[in-house]
Amino acid sequence: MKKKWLIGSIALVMILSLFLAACGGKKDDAEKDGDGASDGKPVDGGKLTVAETAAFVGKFNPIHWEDETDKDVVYNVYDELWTEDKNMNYVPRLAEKWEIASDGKAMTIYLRKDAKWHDGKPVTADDLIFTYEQIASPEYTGVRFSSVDIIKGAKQKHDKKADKISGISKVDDHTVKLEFEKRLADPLAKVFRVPMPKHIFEKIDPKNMANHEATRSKVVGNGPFKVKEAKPNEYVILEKNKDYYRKGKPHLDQVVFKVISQDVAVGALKKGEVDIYPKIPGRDFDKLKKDKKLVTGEEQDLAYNYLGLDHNSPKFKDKRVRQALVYATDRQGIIKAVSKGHGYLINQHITKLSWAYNPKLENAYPYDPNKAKQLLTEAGYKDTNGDGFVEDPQGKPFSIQLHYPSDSANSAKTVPIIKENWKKAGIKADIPQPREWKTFLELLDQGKLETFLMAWGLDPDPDPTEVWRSNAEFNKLHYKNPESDKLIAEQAVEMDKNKRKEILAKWTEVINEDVPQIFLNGRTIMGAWHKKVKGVDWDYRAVVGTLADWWVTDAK
Amino acid sequence: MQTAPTTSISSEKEKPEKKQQSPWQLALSRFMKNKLAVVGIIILLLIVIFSIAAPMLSDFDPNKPDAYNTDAEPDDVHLLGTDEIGRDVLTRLLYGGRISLLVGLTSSLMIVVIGGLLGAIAGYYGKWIDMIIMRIVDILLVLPTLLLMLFVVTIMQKTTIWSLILVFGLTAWPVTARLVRGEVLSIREREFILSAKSIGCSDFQIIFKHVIPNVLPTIIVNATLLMATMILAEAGLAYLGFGVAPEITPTWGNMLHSASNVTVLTDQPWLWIPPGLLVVLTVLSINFIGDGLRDAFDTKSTRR
Repeated sequence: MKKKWLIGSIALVMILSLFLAACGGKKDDAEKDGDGASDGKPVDGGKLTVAETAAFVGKFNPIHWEDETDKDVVYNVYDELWTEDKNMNYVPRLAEKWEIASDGKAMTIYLRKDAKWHDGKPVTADDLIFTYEQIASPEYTGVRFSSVDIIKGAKQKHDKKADKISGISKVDDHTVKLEFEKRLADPLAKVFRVPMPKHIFEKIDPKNMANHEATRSKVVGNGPFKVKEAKPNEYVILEKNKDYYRKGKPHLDQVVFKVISQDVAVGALKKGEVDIYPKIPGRDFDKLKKDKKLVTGEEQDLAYNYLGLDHNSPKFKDKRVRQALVYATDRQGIIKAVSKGHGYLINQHITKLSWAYNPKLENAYPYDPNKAKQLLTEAGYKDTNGDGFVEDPQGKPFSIQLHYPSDSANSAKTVPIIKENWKKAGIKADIPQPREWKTFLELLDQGKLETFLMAWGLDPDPDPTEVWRSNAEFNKLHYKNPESDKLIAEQAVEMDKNKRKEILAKWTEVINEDVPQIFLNGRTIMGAWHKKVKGVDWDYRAVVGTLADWWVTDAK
Repeated sequence: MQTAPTTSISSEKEKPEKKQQSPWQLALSRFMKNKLAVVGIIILLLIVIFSIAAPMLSDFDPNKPDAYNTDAEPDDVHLLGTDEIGRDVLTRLLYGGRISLLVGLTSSLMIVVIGGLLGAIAGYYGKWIDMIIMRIVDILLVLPTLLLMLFVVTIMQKTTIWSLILVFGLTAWPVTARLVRGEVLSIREREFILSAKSIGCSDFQIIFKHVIPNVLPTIIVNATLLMATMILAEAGLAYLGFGVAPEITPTWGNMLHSASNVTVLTDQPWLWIPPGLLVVLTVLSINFIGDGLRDAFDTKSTRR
């Protein structure tokens, strides 16, 4: 799950980037109202309309979805083996229990016996094994292989050296045993956990699976809702799964995800065209908060914004230059101007919401243009021609291009502020013509962007391997640091949570000292909904897998 | 005997002097009598002066953000408030005028040159040349101009002011070409063209010395109206988010774009009413000038 989650998140963040950041300090009435516990007895029936500010791609398939918008549907139509609750503890769903071997190298998953697919067939061990085999198959076109390659033998199958994954064994119809390649710090976070129906997908060529109607429209899941109708550019209608194994759920008869532009979503919510608007940008959120008809919620999110620096560029070779760039950036100002104060200053790859957040780095690199100038002087960057900007040690003009995707309104606002900040410290920045998101990603993959304003949406598990290891696919910084690599490898196999936290803290401090990228701000997730919507326990999950608990008071 | 002719000469002298005004002078005097057109000229001149003198009129940098003073309401420092990242709206408005006028002027010039030349060639030579040029014109005219522009802008990916002008120039010339061709068709049959041919003038000489000067009034009127259209087109594209990025250069169009957000539309009218008003005012005055020019050049016109 991890890889795509990340890609999807960047995309989301960039495209919808309005909801840049938020803050933990301001949850006064929001928290009281936004807490589902005090809403009384649930009522069954009724319809809920959810605003989606980006169109669906339409890949409603657990192993093929890539977009955050699609994820909202997938995780309400398919259930996970286990899921994270509000506090990121694992709670059972399709798996009634699991056992992890004491050496962390194997686990046994016990599936519930009463779970059924939407067409009435039972969910069995065969489905789960089929899902793993599909992802490991060389013909698989999606990007989730990294959440299966931890299983012994998966790589061999992927490389066509084996027909089956050797590390999977079927104990009985509802029990599966997995053996891992090496010890895992937290197998529950790593193992792929959304089974798909074997009896549907075994007849479909894996190459066509992403575009097949079983993915696009006739979706057979096992979750609380079924897909009734899907028009990716307009809406997706879900209806209640009456045979859902968690008795009494879901409460809603119908959920409509309505695609609506961010510019008009506020109006649509006020008029009641939509009942809930998750992922609201700061400026609009402040306005909606004043509306007495609405309930609002703002909670920490697992996302943060950053300015990436390409370490292949000679401009960023000197650590002092990188540090100067952070000191020269008024990050608090960016939070205030761009996110309207929603969000917090961040200095690490782990967000405040995570258990591994390192509070010691809270106040690192305060805004200090003089310190930046001093560091630049030390590094040999001086203003030799009197134009107010420093030249590099060879006396050549020094300027940095600030790249960002044109689809992101918030990036467009951030870039001029950074440019202005840097000017005060004597660093020249240029704003090139922004590129559209897909072009931007291509250029990023080709290593043609010396800086890039982007965001990460992270998993609840704080493992930085896939982003920060020297050869990691998502290490677009081309950042190589043996010390960081060593710590990342250590934490990946450390099963003791406290020890792992210590290692991760050490790692964040190494990164903080070396400034491989400019961390900007951690984000909060902001949502607003009508009072008739009850049971909403607002948190980082927004509507992913949470809809089964919600109800509306005007049912029937 | 001697005196009489003198007086008659002198009295006659006065009359011809009035009539000796060139067609251009006549047109000018007719134009100056058109009050709307004169008002249009004055407004346009003011806008041009303000845009050019922008650095003298404002102490602010149009692209300089102020993170701690965003979305400010109008006050005595920022007369029109500040935008979402704290840039002074009035300053951006002044600088934005430069872009609108530049785009309007250069792209209409480009259109007139392309369209006028192709139209003149088609009309003068006729036959297969006319056939080919006019079919191209037909094809381009069938496509909705705005969609065509959007299409080209999307392909180009990078939108700068100059690429925008290029796009306008390459997509909007067919109307002008057709107009000029029509005029040339009738002029070609006149006697003075025949006599020019008979004394051995080259086609080049005839087109540039005899044909073009005669269609010039039509072209000038057309160019004026085109300028208004192009200013609107730039604003329209920018409003749709396809224009020049606001963080690089302010234009009236991309300032208007901020009104696409409901919160801005309802709560911050000072962000979008001024650029909107200026676009309307500019386009309106250019159109008045165009109308005035048309009436002034048109000898058959009864509106005096």
